[in-house]
Amino acid sequence: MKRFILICAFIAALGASAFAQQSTAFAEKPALVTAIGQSADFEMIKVLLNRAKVPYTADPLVKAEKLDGSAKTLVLVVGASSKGLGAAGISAEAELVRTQALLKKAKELKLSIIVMHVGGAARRGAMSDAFIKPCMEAADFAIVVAAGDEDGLFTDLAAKAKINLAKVDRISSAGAPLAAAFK
Amino acid sequence: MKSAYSRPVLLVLLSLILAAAPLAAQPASQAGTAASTPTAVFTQPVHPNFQAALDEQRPGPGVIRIGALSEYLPVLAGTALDSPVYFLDPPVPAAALKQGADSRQSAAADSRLPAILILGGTHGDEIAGVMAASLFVTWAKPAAARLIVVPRANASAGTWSDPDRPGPKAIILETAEGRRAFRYGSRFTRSEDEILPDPERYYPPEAVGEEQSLAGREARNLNRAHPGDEAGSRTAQAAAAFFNLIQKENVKAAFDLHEAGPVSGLAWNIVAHPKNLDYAAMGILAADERGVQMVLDRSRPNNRGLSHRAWGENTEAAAYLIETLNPGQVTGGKPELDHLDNELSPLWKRVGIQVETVMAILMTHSDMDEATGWAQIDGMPGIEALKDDFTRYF
Repeated sequence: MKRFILICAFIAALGASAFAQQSTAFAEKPALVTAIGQSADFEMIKVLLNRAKVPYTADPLVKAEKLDGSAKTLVLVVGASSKGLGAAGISAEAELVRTQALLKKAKELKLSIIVMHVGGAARRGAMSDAFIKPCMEAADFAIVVAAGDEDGLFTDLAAKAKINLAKVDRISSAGAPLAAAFK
Repeated sequence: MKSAYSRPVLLVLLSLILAAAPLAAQPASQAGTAASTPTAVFTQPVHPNFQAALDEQRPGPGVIRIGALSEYLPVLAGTALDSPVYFLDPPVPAAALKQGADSRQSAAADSRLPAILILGGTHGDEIAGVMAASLFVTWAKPAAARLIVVPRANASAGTWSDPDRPGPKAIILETAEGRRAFRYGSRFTRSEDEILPDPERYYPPEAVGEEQSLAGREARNLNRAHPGDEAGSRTAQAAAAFFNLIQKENVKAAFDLHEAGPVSGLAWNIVAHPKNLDYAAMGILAADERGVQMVLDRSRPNNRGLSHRAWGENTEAAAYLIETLNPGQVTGGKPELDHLDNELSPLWKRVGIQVETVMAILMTHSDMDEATGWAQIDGMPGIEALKDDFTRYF
């Protein structure tokens, strides 16, 4: 009985680990990073990509027609900022249209898609969630600071999309799974 | 306003007090380490608001000189908006000392050295910013840059309570050196301290169109007045003096320390000008590694009159505004609120995050800029030290 419990515990731990971490590098370089919702979190992901030595181009407002296959992985920094949207001169509705077109084109080009949500509770709410849902449905992998998933939204969406979700305690810890995702 | 402190004998007395105060008031742990006594040279009468701001501080051994904001706009001298400016200098290289230079005075005179500017008290009720700036006055030891600190950027706003949003009269700390009080002020310059009446609608500098106009009393909000107007209201003149300071003192990084209320989306934010947004991002990551979580926001073109926009656009300085959560900043105010031990946002946390965030961004400047290490500041207590024994560091 004791051995059976140990085996069950081992299997459960293995499963939890596989769900929490991308076990193998899957994303090809270079990457294209964009801001979905125009939050300044985009800047921090650029820093993390630099640290991970992942070559990338960054365009917070990139449109679907600009995707030409030169970038192999699309990194989506998700989280709405009404101020960021205002500064970019784009409405939330137009941003959602841009996002959906971008996701469609990325799928057509067979790009890998990584969702990053690092702004915690400040980047949640109706406007952010409207961006999060389509991105998670299209993603191959997601990295989330745990404070942004207190209601389990990312956990649920990742389960539905059958993708791996790396939950980290803080932004600075998001660099490791991001680096590990790239071949 | 005519100053009560305009007589020459009082000026002499003030100079003597200022000369003695830093050594008498410095923290016990730093006593005896000062290289020389800071000197205050005021050629103009000081206003009671200036004196009140001065009395609040305990300059540490890093302070080489206590000056006045009016040095950068003489028309401010003796007015309600003049405020003490603390200059902290790095050690002079050994080679200069061999040539007989005084280690402090020679560095102070060298305005070619880059400078860091820290403002607290732009809004007098955003008390964690005042207290964090005050910690720099007491503890900071810049390694290579000059550090300039103005704990009460709006000296008038620190002296009155806004009836629309009152707070406690002061934050009182019982320190080993005696009671220390930080006045809990207002967001605005006191009406009586202004020289112009509030307009019906206020248009911040460079505002375009009616939609960028604000309620009339915002004319007395220092953080809607940048980059200022030398011929404008007292508040606009104070903003102009800060602009002149940044230019004259070769300021490369400028911080404006603020707080925001619970319903504001600004709490726990760093707002950075786009030209230095990457530094702020790296600073957030560095702070995050020390357990301090902040959200990055970018300065927008329509942020007319705000420090981060005006300084970032019009000077060489990398401009940052830091916001912590002040649970007392609510409509109607909360005069009875316990700021020190508040469950939601205790003062040790607010002040600690202000300090940690400034230090993390400066570390990024030190790592990334051409003059490596220029922005390093030693001696500051971190958030854990402040959590353990907040009062000790005041």
